[in-house]
Amino acid sequence: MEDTHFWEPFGSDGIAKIRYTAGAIVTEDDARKSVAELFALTSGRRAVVFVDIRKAKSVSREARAVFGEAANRYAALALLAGSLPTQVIANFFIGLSRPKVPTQMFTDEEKALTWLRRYVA
Amino acid sequence: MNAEDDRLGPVIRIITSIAKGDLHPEFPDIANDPEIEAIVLGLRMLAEELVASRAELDGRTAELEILNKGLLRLSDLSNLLLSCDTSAEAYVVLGRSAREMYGELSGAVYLYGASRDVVELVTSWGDLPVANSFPPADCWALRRGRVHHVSASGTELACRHTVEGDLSSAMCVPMLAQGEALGVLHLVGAPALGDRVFTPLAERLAVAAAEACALALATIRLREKLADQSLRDSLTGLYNRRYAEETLLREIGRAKREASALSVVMLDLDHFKRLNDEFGHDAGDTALREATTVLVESVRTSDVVSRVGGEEFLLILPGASIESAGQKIDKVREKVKALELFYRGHRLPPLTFSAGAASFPANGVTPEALLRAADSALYEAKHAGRDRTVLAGA
Repeated sequence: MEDTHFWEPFGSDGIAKIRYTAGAIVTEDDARKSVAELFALTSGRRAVVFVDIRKAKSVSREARAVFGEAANRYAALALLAGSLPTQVIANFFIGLSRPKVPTQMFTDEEKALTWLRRYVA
Repeated sequence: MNAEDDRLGPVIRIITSIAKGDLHPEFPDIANDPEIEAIVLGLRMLAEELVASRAELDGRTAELEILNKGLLRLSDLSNLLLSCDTSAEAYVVLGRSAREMYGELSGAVYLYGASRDVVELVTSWGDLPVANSFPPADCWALRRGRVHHVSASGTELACRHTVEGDLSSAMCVPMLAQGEALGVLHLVGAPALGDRVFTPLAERLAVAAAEACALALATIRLREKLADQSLRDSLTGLYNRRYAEETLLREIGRAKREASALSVVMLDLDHFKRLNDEFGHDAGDTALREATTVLVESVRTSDVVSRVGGEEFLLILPGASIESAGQKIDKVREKVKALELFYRGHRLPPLTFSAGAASFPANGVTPEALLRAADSALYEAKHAGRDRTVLAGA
């Protein structure tokens, strides 16, 4: 299975950054894999998470459910959307999954990272 | 048709399909038109959510229907149980209702015995074997006072009373009433059913059923205890005069219908007042209890022994002729006379009694007439020197 995403090295800013590749169709399995990777990356700590879906094509309902559940174990979550379709995906996720942690959609990466830095312990 | 119509065509088609109830319409791949692509994607996700919501709603509806049916059955069961006069009747109702409620399962209801060191089977249903009785310690639900569930695929500890080596899932529900466990409802799913039989809803219903049964059984038992107390003499545990008179009326009716024999014996301990005066009332009570034991052990279970006065007893002997009644009483007299009674280290004098026997229909066809005849015979026995039996009309 080709990876639909990649993680940026977990740097000194304390933000876990994942980016979805061009045309990614995110399934439940992809979602579970990325969630497991995140928890391995952050050693299970409540992470501040940045998700770039600007290039993703679609996210299945089952994948959204996995992300929704996992999000409650994060410290904060920023979704970076670009095109109108990715904005729809992001809004759907936030509106229907209703994570209990601070979650917001951005179309500007720097604004997203600035917002997230407030939640870095 | 203009260009705008062309552009919106796929969107209109999707909305129309969804409006008609088709939640799986074709979602075309739109390229080079981000607005329409976003709308189609949004509609697609909305349709997915609708499908999921509908499935969840269907599931909940099905669950509510099961709950509703279960509650109706439970209500029927409670009403039926509360209409039962005796525990035996309640056990029959319980067995039938349990079969209806848990038709696809095997199961059993166990209740504590009087000693509370064993629970005994009162009713069971289904094909799987169940134990006839077991110590309460063999059931985790009774030990912990809460539901114990063993799944077919799980590693939970199985109760020792369940059949070993079984791959069934099972559930034990303690039957609690007013904080006390009366017994346990044991349900077993056939191995083929796997784990799907004991859903959280099924568990809630089973708990409700067990509690309703326990409460109803506790009420029936209390009623039985009160009724029994009102018919028994507290010193000897024998039936009292009221019960004896009711029984005699019933037995006369039966003897008439079946043209069978029936005898009654009035029996009075000799010199009982003297025993009381010399040794005290407690000594008299001891003598009464000992005589009672001999009496009860000497008659058939179909005979009725009752204490109808201070030291006076009435025996109702269905099927017995007056001669056999007399012989039986004479044997009892010998046993009573042979009793060695002690009270606070003092040996009490030998106990004797006088008795008068009468039989239906020769000496009377009503309870009053029969008892009058037996009383007269007893009077004769007393006057003839006591420690003897006189047969009425002899």
